Order: sequence, then C-alpha cells, then structure tokens
Amino acid sequence: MNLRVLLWLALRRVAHFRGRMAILVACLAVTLFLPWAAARLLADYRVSLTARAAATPLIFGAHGNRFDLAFTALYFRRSGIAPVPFPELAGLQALDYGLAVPLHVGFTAQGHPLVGTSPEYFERRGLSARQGSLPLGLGEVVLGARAAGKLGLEVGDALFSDQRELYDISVPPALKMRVSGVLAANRSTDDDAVFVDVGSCWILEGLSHGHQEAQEIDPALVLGSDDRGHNIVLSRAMIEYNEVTADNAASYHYHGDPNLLPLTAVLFWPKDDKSGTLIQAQINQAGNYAMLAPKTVVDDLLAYAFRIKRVFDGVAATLALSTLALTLLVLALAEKLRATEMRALERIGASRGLAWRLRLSEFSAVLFAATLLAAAGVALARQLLPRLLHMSA
Amino acid sequence: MSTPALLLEQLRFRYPASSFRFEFQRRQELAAGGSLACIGPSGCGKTTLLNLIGGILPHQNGRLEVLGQALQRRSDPWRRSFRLARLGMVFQEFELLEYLDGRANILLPLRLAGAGPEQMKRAADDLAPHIERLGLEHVMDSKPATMSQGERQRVALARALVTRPALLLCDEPTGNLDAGNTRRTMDLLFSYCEESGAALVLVTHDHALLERFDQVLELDAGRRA
Repeated sequence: MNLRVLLWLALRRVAHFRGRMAILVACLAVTLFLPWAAARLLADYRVSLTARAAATPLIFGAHGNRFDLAFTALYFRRSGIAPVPFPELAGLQALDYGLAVPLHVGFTAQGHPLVGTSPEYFERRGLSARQGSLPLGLGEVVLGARAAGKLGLEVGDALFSDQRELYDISVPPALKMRVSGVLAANRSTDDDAVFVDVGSCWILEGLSHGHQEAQEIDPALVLGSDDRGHNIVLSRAMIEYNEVTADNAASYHYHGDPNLLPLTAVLFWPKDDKSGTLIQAQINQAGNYAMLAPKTVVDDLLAYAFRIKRVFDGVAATLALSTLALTLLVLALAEKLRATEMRALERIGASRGLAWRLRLSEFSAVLFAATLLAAAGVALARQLLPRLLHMSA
Repeated sequence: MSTPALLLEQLRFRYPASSFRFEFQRRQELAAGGSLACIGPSGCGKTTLLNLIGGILPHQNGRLEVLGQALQRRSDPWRRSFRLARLGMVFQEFELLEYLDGRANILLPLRLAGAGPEQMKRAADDLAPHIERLGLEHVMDSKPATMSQGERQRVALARALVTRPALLLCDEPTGNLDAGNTRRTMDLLFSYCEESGAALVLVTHDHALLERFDQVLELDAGRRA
C-alpha cells in the first residue's frame, strides 16, 4: 500500500464528508485558537508594554494612582490625575540628574490625543520627521504617522483641536494649528498622537490667549479699568484669536499665576543609573510628588494580567479537555459507523495497517487544517485586536 | 494433472466469541476452470466456507488449498495480498465504500494492489464490456447510497472481476436481482470463467441455477458446541 493510495482514499473520504469534517475542524480550531491567541496577544502586549516602559526610565507626577500616572504619561490616556505646576520642571532640571521633558495630556484633535511637550521628546523617543520639521512653535503641530494618514494631512495644512464645550462661551474655542511636521512611523502610541508645544495646551486650557491690544479695541467691549488705564477688564463678547500666526504671536500672554501653569507629568531620563536612583529617592522622600519607574508599574500590572491569564489558561485547559473528550467520543462513534468500510477494505485484501493509517492520516489532515485555521485566526487577532483594544505601545 | 483450483478436506473452524462450529468432514476438489455451487440452509456455514477459502478467516484444522497454495500457517498479510492478487470476491453485503463512486469502487482492488495509472487505464478499458453487459454505465459516477440494491450488487461483481482473478468466490451474487439481471449476471460469470480459465465458487439459494455448475456442494446445518 503506497502513500498515494492512502492519501487518495483519505481525501475522497474527507471530501465526501466535508460538512461534518468542517464542523470537526472548526471545533478543534476554536479549541486551539483561544489559548494560543491569548498567549500570543499577552506576549505581544507584554513585549510592547515593557519596551515602552523600559524606554522611559522615570515619570514625575502628582501622588495618586501610579497606574494612572504611568499609563497617562506612556499612552496619553486621559485620566483624573492632579496636575504638576510648571516650575517643578525647572526644579527637576536644576538638580542636574538628567533630562526632564514636560508632558501635557488631555486634549484631542479630531479624536487623536493632543500631547503638549518639548522637542527633546522626539529625540528621546527616537522619532524623526518624515516630512517638515520637528521643533515646535506656539500653534504648530507635529503629527504622528498614523494620525497623519488617517487625517489626510500634510505639512502646511491646518488641524483644529476638538471643541470641549459647544454652548459655554467662557471655554476657549478650538485652536487652529498649522502642521509643521509629520513623524516617521515607529509602531507605537506616538503614531496616533499629535504633538504641540505645552504653550498651545495652555491656550486650550484658557490660561493663555491672544487678542487685539486692549487699548485699541472697541470701547464698548471695555468694562472697566484702573485710573492709569491698566488692568482693563474686557467683555466676554470680545473675540480672542483662535489661531497663532506670525502677526499675532506676540499678543499671546498669560493671566493668573505663572507658577500654576499645569503639566500632566514630567518624563525624566537620568544621566546614569546612579542619578536615577538618587532623584527617585530624593523626590519620593520629599513626598510632595511621585517619581516612579514605569517599568516597575508595568511589571506589576503584567503580574496581575498573568495571574488572570492563569485562570484563563485553566478555563482553556478545561475547554480543551472537554473538546478532546468530545472528539474522542465522535471518533469512537465514527469508528462504529466506519466498521462496514473497514471490513470492506479488509475483505477486499487491504493490509491491516491501512485501516489504522487511514484513520491516522484523516485525523492528521483534520488536525492540520484546524491548526492552520487557528494559526490564521491568531495572526488576524494579532493584527486586529491591538488596534481595537488600543494595545499598541 | 493440473493443480486444482480448490481442495477442501476435513475442515474445521470455530469463531472465537461464538458457539457456532463449522465442520466439513469430506474431501472436495475443484479443477481449474471448473464451477462449484454451494447450497444449504441458512446458518449452515456457506459464507464461512467462502471466507475460509478467501483467507479472510484462518481455518484451524484440516486441509485447504487454493490455487495450489496451502492456506494453513500462511500469515495474515500473505493471505491478504494473495486474496487481492488472485481471488475475486463478491460479498453478500456488497462491501462498497460509500464515499467512492461506482468507477472508483470497481477499481479499488487495483489501487490497493498498487497499480499505476497505465495499469488502471488498461483495466478500465478491459472492464468496459463487462460494465456494459452488467448495465452499469449510468452508475459509474454515482455513490452507492444513490444506487439500487441490484446496481450495488452488480458493481460489487464488476469489482471482483477487475483484477482478472483465477478464482471467483461469490456469495449470493444474484440475491437481489430480477430474473433478467440474474441471467445476465450468471452469463457474465460463466463467460468470464470460460475466457480466462478461472474457477467459480458460488453460494446460492436459487436451485434453478444449479444445473449450470460442474459440481454442487450441499452443506449441512452448522453445529453448535
């Protein structure tokens, strides 16, 4: 009995019973897919989370939920963490332990996270411009690669920030920003973000604005002033600029205490390990703010996730066992149904081994098809799920 | 003197899990090209005898020679390849594979014997007149489930002929056929034997067929231990 005949018989049978074979393949494929996909996705998730966390040695921010602080700073998620006053950035830089990079997160532009930062951010993340330039000026925006693709924007185009409140005129209007650069893709969260100078974020916060000189505007909009003509109180009806241009950039100014200008967090790259340890100890011992290593936070989170995965693995193992038992039952029943076929082959003169090889080759074909299907499913899941769940790091 | 196609003497067989005991106390010889009809009441062991001759069942005692080969002490694989190469069997239950069409079922013994495409084609060409004579052209592409009992029986018969066997063993090959098809089938069997010099052993309940055979073997009721 040569292999060709064996395969011919097996394929004829599989083709004849294609419906029930397809069901068997699908059941086995699902059983293989679930634990396999979970393992692969978690491994991918772990790699991407760990890689981004490892590339960000320290995060400085307000006390509170350390997961919130880490994930806001790493993935630009909007969260309720308390702001860090801007002067703290200068304080960190003054310690001379490394490079401090400001981060302001919370606004969006066409659904993409609007991240206020400084040009050092790009350098530290290894981001380069695919188009235009990276240095950020007030009112300029640098687009992540995927964001640029989705929005269909190029250098020189305009992008509006998302309006926070439609009916509250006291809230600053959407800011029209000019695209000054587009980043090359680096398969991270940065691809989906749009970057601006922190000053632009403060404009959106309503802490900074630009308008016509108060002395030159329509007197009807002036509600009052002191005797010397300073500290002019203007009507809310006065229209503020919603775009920073070369002509009006000089008119932008802050109101209130500049020491309270907010940052969401400060990313910190120490000069060396020792500097990292020292600044972390110094900040955490002072107790006013937190300085955390995102790698530790991510490791803790992954430990939780992998504890959950163990439960999931247990469920998957139970499912696999029950499917295996069911498959064996199906095979046993099929064996009964195949008794006539096996007897026929034997009586005609086929070798005793043929029956077993036939069964084995059919089961191998089913298992192979199921594995192939499961592998395709895992590959698809690895492509689609991270995007759906925003898992990309 | 030429080697007999079949020699039976003092045969004894007992199924392992059954009280049925087959005993053949006589000596029976069938010459090459001869024909033997086997009759007897149901349960007397006619099918068992065919299975013993075909080497499907190993006999436990006595003498059994088929086409000059003593089957006793021959291994199971040897008996299988001997059956495949030299014997043609038509089974009572037809033993067709439900997932193969008529043509594939008929050619199956050749495939199992490892025939190449050339050999398969030649066999199919040789078989064409038999197919036509058996009236099977229209079921060549049909699966057994869509065939009538008679068609299945004739497909089984065509399959028995495909390897051009030297001994044909047929278990009630006309049991499900009408008078016309019975006559055609028997004509085919005898003309095949005449042309090829093959011997024929046929189990039947139809006494009207007996007159065409050289020998008739009547079996007694099987014994129970």
